[in-house]
This record gives sequence, structure tokens and C-alpha cells, in this order.
Amino acid sequence: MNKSSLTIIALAALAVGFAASWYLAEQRPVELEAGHYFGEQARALPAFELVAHDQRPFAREDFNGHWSLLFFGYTHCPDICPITLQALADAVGQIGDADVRDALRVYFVSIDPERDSPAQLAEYVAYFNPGFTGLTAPLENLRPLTRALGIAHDFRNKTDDATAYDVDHSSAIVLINPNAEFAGIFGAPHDPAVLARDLTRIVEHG
Amino acid sequence: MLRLLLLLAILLPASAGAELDADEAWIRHLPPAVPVRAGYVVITNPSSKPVTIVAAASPAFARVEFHRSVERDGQMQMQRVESVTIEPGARLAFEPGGLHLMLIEPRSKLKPGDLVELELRLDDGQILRLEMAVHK
Repeated sequence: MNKSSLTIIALAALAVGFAASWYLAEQRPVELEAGHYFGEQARALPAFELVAHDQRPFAREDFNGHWSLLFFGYTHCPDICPITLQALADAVGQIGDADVRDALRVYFVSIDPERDSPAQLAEYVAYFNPGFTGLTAPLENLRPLTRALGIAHDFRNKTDDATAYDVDHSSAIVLINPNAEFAGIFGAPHDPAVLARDLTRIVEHG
Repeated sequence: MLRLLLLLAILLPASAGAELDADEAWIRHLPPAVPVRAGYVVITNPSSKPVTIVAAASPAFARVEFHRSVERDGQMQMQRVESVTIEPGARLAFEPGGLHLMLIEPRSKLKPGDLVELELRLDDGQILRLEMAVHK
């Protein structure tokens, strides 16, 4: 074997090595500072029919093509819901890379359809970020989605007085991947800076 | 910037008696369509005896209640609290994600920068007054 063919073999070996390390890096699960990313274990969602705050129908396929963050709550919730929506708005604002920001959508899903009309949701979500989307639906239409995501919600002390009842609800932020699959979850409390870093990792490497 | 706004108030009793200090009193601004607001304040009791707050009221709201956000098995619940007691020398925080004032049905459109009066009624009948700033 002459010198030049040895060089070619060495270069080929080097190329294989690079390819392998690149492949392994790509396959390595995304590690987050907060929350859990399911990676390959992302779970398919059932079909569902919701209504967006602009009155348009919203189905599972509308999650296709971008990363989605979902928070479930209600507008009559004065403490946890504004805290979480503000944390999401701050997190999105702290993401430096415009491509990462553009790949993300944030949805506030009302679990209190009687009091939260699409018009009410439109005003509410826009207050935190004009790009956020409010979603709602009669409870029977909401259940397939919340069940698949493990998001519990229950009415408590419900009476005819619209200001008097509360809705217990999960404080988690749910992540949906661009294939419309349940891809991760962030538990409260939500730190905007940590969320911003984790979301950047997910969009870039997930 | 508004978050840094600090309101320092000595709560003035209508008659001589208990005294509390209130700090960082604010109401989270929300869109007008929402008929409830959360209020926050840090109260300290510089006196030598416990002080119990049994009720709150504001001319700017139909009702004021004490609520606590509690996480149980990953679920957030709002629990109503009937009264709060501040021990001598102790500090009690009404703060985001925990104990808070539940301000129900604003009587007018509140906007950032508005000041809202709050009255706290003690178990001995005394009324203490403070001002809360509305901001985001």
C-alpha cells in the first residue's frame, strides 16, 4: 500500500468518526434545566375540536409545523393564570434567536367555557402577548385533549354566581412537537429565563 | 420598572391600638373583561401582641376575600382563608402564587398607576387603611 492510499484510508476513518460523533450528538436526548422532554417517546394526540379566540375552529392538525406550549386555566383566575402567562410572555421575549421564537406558539386553553367566550379570551391573551392564542370548547370537546395530556381540571363550589366559583387546574405547561404529539411538560413554578433556555434547546435540537 | 414601585405605609388605626406596617402593596392589572384581581402586600407586626385580620374591604371593589393558591398533586387550587394572624415581630406576605387578596368586581375600570384604598378589619373591630398601586 502506498503513502497516498494510506492517507485516503486515514481521511475516510476520520470522516466516519466525525459522522458517528455528529450522529450520536443528534441522538442524545435534549436535557432540560426544568421540565421533561419526551424525545422519541412523544405521544400521539387524539383528534379534538376546539375554537380559537378569533372564532375559527382549531383541531389537532393545527399543531403541525411548529412547537406549541399549552397552559390550561381560566380568565377568572387572578393569581396563578396571570403569573404563568406573564412567565410565558417573558420567556418568549428572552429568547434571543428570532428563528427559535418564530418556531414557537403559545396557547391558553380555557377550562371554563361558560365564562370564557372567545371574545373574552381574545382580550385576555393579547394583554400578555398579541401573538398568544386563546382556545376554548365545551367541556365534552375539551376532555379528549386534557385526558391525553394528563391535565386535570375540576369545578369547585360552582353556583349561578359567575364570580363565586373556582376551577382547580394543573399548573403545568405542556409542550407539543411539530408532529402534533405530546412532547414534554414543565412543572410550576415557571422561571422565564430557564424556560427561554430550555425552549431554545428543544427547538434547536429536539 | 413599575414592579420596583414600593409603597411604604404605616397603617393608621381609626383609634389608638394595634399598628401594622404595610409594604409593597399592589394590585395586578388585568384586562377590563376580567372581573377579579389579585392584590399583594407584605405586612409586619412591630407590636408586642398578635394581630388578627378578619376581613378586608375596598371602595373600588364589591368584595374582598383572602385566598391562598395551593398546589396539590400537580393541581392548583384556590382556598379561601377566613382570617390571618400576624405574631409579634412577624411578617406576613400576600404574594404571587401564595396567599393573596381576592378583589372581586371592580366598581370602575382600573388602570396602571391607579391607587386603590384597602381597609383591613381586625378582630377587635379596629379598621386599618392602606393604599395599593395598580400595575402590571
